Amino acid sequence: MKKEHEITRRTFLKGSAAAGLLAGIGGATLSDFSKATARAEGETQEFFNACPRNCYDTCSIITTVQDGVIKHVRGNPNSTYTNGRLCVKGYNYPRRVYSPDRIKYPMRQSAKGSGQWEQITWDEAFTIIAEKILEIKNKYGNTLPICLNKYSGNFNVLTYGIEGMMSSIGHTTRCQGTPCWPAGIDSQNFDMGAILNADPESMLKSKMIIVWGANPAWCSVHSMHIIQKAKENGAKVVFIDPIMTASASKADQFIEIKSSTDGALALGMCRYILDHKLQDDAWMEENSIGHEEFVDYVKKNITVEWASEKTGVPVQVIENLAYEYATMEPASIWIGYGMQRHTNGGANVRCIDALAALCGNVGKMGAGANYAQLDSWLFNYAAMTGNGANTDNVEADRNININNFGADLLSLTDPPVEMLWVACRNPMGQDPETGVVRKAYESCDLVVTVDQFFNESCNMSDIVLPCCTIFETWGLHASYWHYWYHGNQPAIAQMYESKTDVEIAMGLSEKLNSLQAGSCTYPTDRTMEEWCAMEMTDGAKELFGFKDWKEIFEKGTAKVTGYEAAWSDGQFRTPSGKYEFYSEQAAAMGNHLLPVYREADETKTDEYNVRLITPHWKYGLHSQFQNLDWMQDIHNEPFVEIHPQMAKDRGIEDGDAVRVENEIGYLVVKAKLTQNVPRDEAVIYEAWYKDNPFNVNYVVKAIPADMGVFATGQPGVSFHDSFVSIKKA
Amino acid sequence: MKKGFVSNMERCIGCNACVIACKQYHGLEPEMKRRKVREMDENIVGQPVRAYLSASCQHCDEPACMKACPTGAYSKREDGVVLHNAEVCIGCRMCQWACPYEAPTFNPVTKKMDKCDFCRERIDAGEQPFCVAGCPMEALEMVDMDEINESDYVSEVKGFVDPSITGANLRVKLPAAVRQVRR
Amino acid sequence: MMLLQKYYQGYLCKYADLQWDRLIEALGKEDTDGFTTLAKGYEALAHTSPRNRREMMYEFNRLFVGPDAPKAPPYEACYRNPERTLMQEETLAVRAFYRKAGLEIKNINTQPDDFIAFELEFLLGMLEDGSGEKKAYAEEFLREHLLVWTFDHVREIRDNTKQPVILSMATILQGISEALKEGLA
Repeated sequence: MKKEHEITRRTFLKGSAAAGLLAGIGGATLSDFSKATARAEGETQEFFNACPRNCYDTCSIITTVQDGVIKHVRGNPNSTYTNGRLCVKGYNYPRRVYSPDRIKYPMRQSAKGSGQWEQITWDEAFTIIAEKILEIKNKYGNTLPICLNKYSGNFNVLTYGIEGMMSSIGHTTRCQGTPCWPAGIDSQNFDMGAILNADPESMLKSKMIIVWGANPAWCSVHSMHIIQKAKENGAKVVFIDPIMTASASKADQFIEIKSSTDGALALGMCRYILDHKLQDDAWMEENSIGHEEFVDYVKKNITVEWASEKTGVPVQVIENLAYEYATMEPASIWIGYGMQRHTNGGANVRCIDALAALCGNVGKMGAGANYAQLDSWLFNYAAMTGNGANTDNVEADRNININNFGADLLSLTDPPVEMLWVACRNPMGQDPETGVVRKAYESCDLVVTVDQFFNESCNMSDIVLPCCTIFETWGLHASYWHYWYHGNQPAIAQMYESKTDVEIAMGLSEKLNSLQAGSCTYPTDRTMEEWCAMEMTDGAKELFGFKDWKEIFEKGTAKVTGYEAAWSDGQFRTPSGKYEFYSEQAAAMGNHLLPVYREADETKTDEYNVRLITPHWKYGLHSQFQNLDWMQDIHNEPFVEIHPQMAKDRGIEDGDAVRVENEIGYLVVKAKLTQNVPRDEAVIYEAWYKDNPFNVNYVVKAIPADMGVFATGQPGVSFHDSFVSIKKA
Repeated sequence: MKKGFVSNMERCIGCNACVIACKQYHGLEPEMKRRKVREMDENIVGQPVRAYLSASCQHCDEPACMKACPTGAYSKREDGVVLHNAEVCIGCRMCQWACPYEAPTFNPVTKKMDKCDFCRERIDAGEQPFCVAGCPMEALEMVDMDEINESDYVSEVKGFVDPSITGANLRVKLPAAVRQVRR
Repeated sequence: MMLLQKYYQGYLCKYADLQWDRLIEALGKEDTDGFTTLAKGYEALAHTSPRNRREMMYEFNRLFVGPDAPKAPPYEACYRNPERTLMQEETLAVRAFYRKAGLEIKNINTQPDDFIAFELEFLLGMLEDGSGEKKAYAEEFLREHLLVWTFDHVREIRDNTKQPVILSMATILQGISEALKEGLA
């Protein structure tokens, strides 16, 4: 039987009862289409965007768009720091925006971890959430049972709308503190009154650069370029680190130091400098307090031999380093965040600061004890508006330690936490002691997570809400290292049903108020452009010479000037107005008055006696980027780096499966033998791989660092003080 | 005028930004890399370091791809750039077999080969190739092989293919030795 | 075909028992014109239980929507390019085709143009029009686009689920594709 060539005559295509039924659902045929608009073929547009990740380099981006689709991205040459170039992660952005894996719609899970998801509308999502909030409010008289866990997955200033949303509901439980850098922040606050690094571009003027516990090749590549150029111009570059990193591989000199003993090295250098009268007495006299006590401490307690024994660095090397640091002017020190992730991290930073101050290397061009800065964050934080607290029966927000999130949340009983909001974070992936974090999630009735890609935190949520990428909205951005201030404009339309965090806040506010008038004070009627317009401070406009904030889009970026040599005015922000070797604030927080050596806490045991260092990974930023197709193409497998000697002692060969274990958990990973790690320490880079249960945090303990409470409210995490056993699996 | 690349291992940190920058600029398909970054032997300069070599097509004096191709899909410009013509290509992969540098890759969607073309439209317009312009360490350079000072570079790198096989137009600056103090 | 379009747009995910009953009854009266796969599909759907139908949405989302990476993403690009990234050449080729016929999807660039529901809707629109020009577009669209990937999509669905309703719909998609393919020959 020959079939007709007329496909339109197929009766199953029209006129049937089924077709009639179906036509009644949704729109008529072609209701999803409209007439084609006239468009010039191949016409491209360019937009300015900014990478909003938690990264020193916070790049300004130029995005090429054709017919509403991103074609490629490149660095903005208008910022001399971005220098027209991005990093390997940044170049992957188009894959991120258009990945089929992206979270597209609000969805609700039938039970946490079940994998059974139902698509809901935004209205349904807002209703579920609002009803829960009001239920809590009515039951407890306040909203303390609502906990916010938000951090730095997106540093667009407008994401502070998340905190604003919470404040607009009432008093809530907040994850306070920061996992990254708090110990060092406290130290620099005690010593100088604030974190304030010299413009990294000034390193080009340094005669000596010491990079102490940082890996800019992987974490701040634009600074690595600057350091490389300085080296080619004759600067001496020294890297001090337990690991021979990709960065240290470019040094003039690499000094392998025993983990956590950095303060001892700095003090040993101080002793040498004092013995040889290389210190800058005049500077200290003019600009500091407590230098006599400090000098006295060093002379009585520190010897170079002692420092050598503590650090594993030979005496001769310490002496040479000290001599060079004190005499090669200007000399700059970059204090890394990795270095302060120990139980004595804060104390170590104080010692390094003291070394710089001893030599008068603070405030001079090309010098400094450089760590971080927030002075360039010239924002009004308008999105963070919120005052819903007047209907509350409590006085203030309740704070828990972001670095001990799981355990802290579980310990709350008065009132307990019933609802959790997670944004710009992946606690299930990134927090130490994963098992405890999981229990905390399970204990909450309603967990809402806002994200772009599915991860373990989403898996343990009840509701997942899709957020936009930075290419789909407005924003203003600053860095905590360089001094460029970037503008971000929408390059493409918001995809699927994604919303920005501020749009989510406005939608929730509208819903809450519709159910109970006055229950949320978050504004509901601004566009993202209007919100963004409110963020640039008048001071910034004046500094940049702008009449209107939109002028930032002429170049995409503008420089915050005046910080080429931080602290050059000698106006320290301490109580005394001087550099404080002797810090009463430090003592008030339970630390020593002076920058003394503090031994790291003993966390090693007989069974678990190999230190595990878990630094940042080059192909991802925590759980972002490594999951993208092109990144997977380059590298898609976790591994543990161990020294050939350690491997030999355990009968492990390159490529073998290795069991890494301690009291709280274990991992099985592939071994990579390399001489570029210490003989007695193992290294696993923290990252999240797609479709892979690997998580280094199964063996990372939430050990608090010595400092962080003063400036950030909570102590830091000693990520690098976990010990494990390494065995062939 | 003979176009070539300089790969400066002293600056290169093995980040693969060049690889991805190129991929997104040219809209390459899966597993296609016009440029590859190789992790080199850690003892390359004596004491252990982390060392990397980024290399694409070498636009060789005597391209093995051209010799191996049965359809004449390869040609060499006056300025040395070796071009692949997808229209004539039948995807037989002989060039992939022949090239000692793994430069031609197979496009699984078009079922033809693909290779670095020195960003010919960009260089003809006076711009740099995208990998050169995109490298955050400025570790890549486009050079005129007739003009460079050969004594500044090496052409042979331990662990990488002998360049004299095809007259590769890649010059390398080896990583500098690091004075190391190890425990 | 409209059944598939509405299905992929998610309308059947929250269909009540009674609505399903009516639909199945109406489908039972369809003339499948001797296309056995299609008939099998309708039959299989008719044999699904109310419970199967109610729970279908979880598998539907796991395969086609999210929030985790969908196991059988219903976009043409995902089957014509191993990398599966959307809005690249493959999606834009579909966009160009719609434009040729004087159409584009509403709110362009907020969703990939090659979403199966859009492709089915476009095809239906061309066929319903009745004109020779539109019919020619329909045939070309089938040859260049829709039929190039639906069979692979069906295969991927079968590899990833055992849910009876989803499998029935996959069979229906296969049946329709076979019928259209034959109609073109």
